Amino acid sequence: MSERQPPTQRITLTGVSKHYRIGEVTVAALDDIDLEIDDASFTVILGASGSGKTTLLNMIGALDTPSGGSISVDGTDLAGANRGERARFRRQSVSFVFQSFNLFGGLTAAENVRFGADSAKRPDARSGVAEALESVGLTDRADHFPHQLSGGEQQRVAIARALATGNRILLADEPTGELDFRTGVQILQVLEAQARAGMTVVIVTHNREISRIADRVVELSSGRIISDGPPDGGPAEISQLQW
Amino acid sequence: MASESTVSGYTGSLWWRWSWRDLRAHWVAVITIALVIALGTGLYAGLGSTSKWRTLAYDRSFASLHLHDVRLSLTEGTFAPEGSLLAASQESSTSGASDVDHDRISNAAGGPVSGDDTGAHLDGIAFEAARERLVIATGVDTDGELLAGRLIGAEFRDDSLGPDLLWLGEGRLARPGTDHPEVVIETKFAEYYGIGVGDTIVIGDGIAISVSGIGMAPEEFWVRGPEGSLLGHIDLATLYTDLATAQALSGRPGEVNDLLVRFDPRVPISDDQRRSLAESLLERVTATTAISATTTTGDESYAARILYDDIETDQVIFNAISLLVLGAAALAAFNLISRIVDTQRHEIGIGMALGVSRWRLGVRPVLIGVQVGVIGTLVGIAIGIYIGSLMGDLLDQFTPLPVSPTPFQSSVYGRGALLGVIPPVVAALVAVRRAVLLEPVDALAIGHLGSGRTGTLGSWVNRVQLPGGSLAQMPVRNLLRAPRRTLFTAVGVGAAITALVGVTGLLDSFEHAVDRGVAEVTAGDPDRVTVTFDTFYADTDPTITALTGLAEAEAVSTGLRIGGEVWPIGIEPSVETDESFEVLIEVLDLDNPVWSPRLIDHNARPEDGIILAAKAASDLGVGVGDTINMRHLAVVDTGITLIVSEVEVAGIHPAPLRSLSYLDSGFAERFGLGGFVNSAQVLPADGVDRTALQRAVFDLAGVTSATPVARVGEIFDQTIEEFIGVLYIAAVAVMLLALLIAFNSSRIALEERRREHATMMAFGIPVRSVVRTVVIESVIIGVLATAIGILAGLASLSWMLHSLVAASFPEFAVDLSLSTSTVVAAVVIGVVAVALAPLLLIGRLRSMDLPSTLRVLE
Repeated sequence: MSERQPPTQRITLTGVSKHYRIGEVTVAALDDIDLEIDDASFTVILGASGSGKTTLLNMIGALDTPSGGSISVDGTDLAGANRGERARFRRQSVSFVFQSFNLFGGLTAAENVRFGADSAKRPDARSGVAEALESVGLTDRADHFPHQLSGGEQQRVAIARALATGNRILLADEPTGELDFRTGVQILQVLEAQARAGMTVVIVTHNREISRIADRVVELSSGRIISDGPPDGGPAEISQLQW
Repeated sequence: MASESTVSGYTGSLWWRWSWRDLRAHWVAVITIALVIALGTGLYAGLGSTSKWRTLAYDRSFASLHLHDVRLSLTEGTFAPEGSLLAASQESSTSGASDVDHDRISNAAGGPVSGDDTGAHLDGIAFEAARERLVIATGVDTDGELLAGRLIGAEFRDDSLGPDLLWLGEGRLARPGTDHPEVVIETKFAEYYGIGVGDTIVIGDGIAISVSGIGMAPEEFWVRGPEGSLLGHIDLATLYTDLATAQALSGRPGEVNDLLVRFDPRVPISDDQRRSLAESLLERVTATTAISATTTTGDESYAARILYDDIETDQVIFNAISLLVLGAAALAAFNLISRIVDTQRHEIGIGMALGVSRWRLGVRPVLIGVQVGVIGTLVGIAIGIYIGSLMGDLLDQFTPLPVSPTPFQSSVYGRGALLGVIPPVVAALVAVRRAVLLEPVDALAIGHLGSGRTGTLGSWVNRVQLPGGSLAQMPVRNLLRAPRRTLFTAVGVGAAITALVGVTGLLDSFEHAVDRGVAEVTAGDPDRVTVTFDTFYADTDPTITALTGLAEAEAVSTGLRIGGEVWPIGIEPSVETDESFEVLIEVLDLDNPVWSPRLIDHNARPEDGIILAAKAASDLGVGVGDTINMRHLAVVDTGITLIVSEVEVAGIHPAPLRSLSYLDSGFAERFGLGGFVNSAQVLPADGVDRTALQRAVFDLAGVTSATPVARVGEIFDQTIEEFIGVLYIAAVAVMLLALLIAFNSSRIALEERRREHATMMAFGIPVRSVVRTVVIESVIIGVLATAIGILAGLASLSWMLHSLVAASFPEFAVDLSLSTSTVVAAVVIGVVAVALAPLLLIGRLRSMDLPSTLRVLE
């Protein structure tokens, strides 16, 4: 029996805080967050509206900078990174899936996916696009424009775009938020498959049911982590979810 | 019921407050669109005011100087004893003849004549005043400039009733006397050559004259030069002095050649009646004196005709220019407002879902249109007042007059305001209509179900296959996704380019025509000097032989320059129609070694007929070999007179001035004009420079001007600068307009693509790459806009030249010409400025809140 290798810690947050000033009032979106996320893990960040979960995801994805603390992702110190360094980090290390898809209306599905490959400067962009579309089951919709696709299809294109970057960390913000149950399940299956294939997948959601499929659930409230661990009762199969 | 009215009132104020917040939220867009409208309305109002100002200025100025009703001019070179013209006019009185007071008429040579029943009459119409004058051609040497001059001798008095009083801008009237002769010099000439009161000028025979004042009589409100062109005030010095002094200086003591009559202004006289009175005067004077003469009414005087005709024709061009600019502004405002209102479509959908009535939902977007229109119009009024003041200054500079009122033209500004408010309001209404006609579910569903929807055209163009990576394709894809919007944006920018090409193309076309004219007139030796004499001389006269024998001259070609009129066969000429027009007939030996016109078409013997300008032939509808009527001077048994001859068009020359026409001296002999000379072309001998030749010629007796042909270009340039000053004002406005539209289009495009840019940056695309895609998109729009603008500009330019300019400047052949600088300016504004406009917005991209932008739910 071989000895189990300790997991690589891909994402490390130490004492991270984020404060906003609204008029005379200072609002703490995140308050002294310590968090480590392993490589090839499937993590859900759970929380009600205003809990700070999206802010946390934005910190990890270098879309935003913390007011205090440090963030290291894939060996890159994000708290001290300048604008260019953060852009390079996003290009080379992470990819995003948004609640409202944010596809480029002027590009076809394949071209949107190609954008992901191009932005990461993948040398095998063409084959990467085909693989990514195949992995989300949209090969036959490659030449359709976003407005010709359903919401679920658009979100799958968005996932394919993220996959096409070849980056190992996938960050998804409420990826099923605009979708019905059946479509949402399809999206979750795709995301789960990526995690099982070795990607680091972090999903932000307010839906506790969704969190049941994750390896780990980090729950936030008022900018603080109030629980961290496997879902209650252990990870569930997607088919066991009840919306 | 009370509560309902309260609710209604609350709702009303809510819409106002909401729209006010919209205004503040879009303040940059509102201000820039308002400025676009302001430039359009300002130019329209500013240029539109000039018509009324000019009419007022001319009416009051002519009235204040008591413009004559009738002028009688003896044929060039003939004179009558002082008093004889007045006497002849009074002797010829009919119904009022018995009441004529001969003494008062005689006295009137120097002053007022009573208009009451005891005064002089013509056909029963009482004279207010009449005045004999001596109008003599002379040379003028002012600080080395040797120019043609005209000495007008009459008894100008401060208290005179006229006719044709002298308005003094500076100094005083000339004192009588020849010991230290004085003159008043015409205002624009004095200004151009920097002549001031107290300066000395030299006229023919080397007589030094002191300038006592600077001013003008009504006929010099617009000076007609020796070339009969626009250039009068620059190449003709008009000098006013008292009659006796003029007679003494010109060596014509006791002689006059001109009579002005002003009828009693209390008696209304129609134009036809005035014309009839002029003819009566002519008949009676010629019958009495046996001297050939012509009469014109005050309205027919060159200055009055040109100035009043110009008001209408200039205004047509001004209107065309300002409407072109206003149209561009309106189109741009329409496009920009539509795009702003389109962004509210989702909120309109929410309102519809909540059951708010459609018309009420339309209030808020329409209020944006109203606000933009009102702000634009208010700023436009300010710009209009500024442009109006520039125009006022330009008119003052171009046509200085005794009275130049510039009252605020409320009706013009009212029309401008209406034209300024309508486009944004209509744009808002159209956009609102598009929004409220949707079903609520469709209006709301602009997320994944609604965004990017395209029509048939969009679906078709989306199939276009493009090379390159996704980032490279994105600008083209974005434009193809919404082809109508792309086209509208391009048309909005293109409209400004259209106005730019139209306005600056007018400048180019005028300048090209001038260059052509100068090239034709100055062809050959640039040191050639054109000489004019004070009257007709036989070619054997010592005055002429002195020139032909001049040591400084290598070759001399003598000729004759006379006025004439031409019209087609079978038509009666009339000053009120365009079927006849005046020409300057130059009689010369076509084979002379000095200069003759270049012919672009001629028959076998071009010396056997008239050579017309191409423009003249075109206007007359004739070609080589056709015959036309020509009214011209002829020497007959009884002396010099005007006759009408039928002459064949023997050749066509390409100079753009319609009036320039030529007869071979051999052909002119049939009219008795052979052997007469009043002009010459002279080439300098070897080793003699132009200035020395000019001086030697000018010092000869009888020479009134000796002008190097090279100077023609300079004079043309100066004149065209003044004439087209207004176009420069319009060109500056158009350039500002184009830049504003370019900036605003980019700004709105950037706003519309905000989320896409945020997504790109979320994938690590650097800001510079995002900007590059925006710039490429702008470049494509700019190229499209420039192409549209240049093509539409050429079309509008062609229309203005062929319809408006042809009517406004019938004497001038202006062909369509677009300079390289205009094309470069169009490309710079249409492509470069549009492409670079996004760079002004880099800061917005850099400071974009990516998380918030990406999370916006549709």
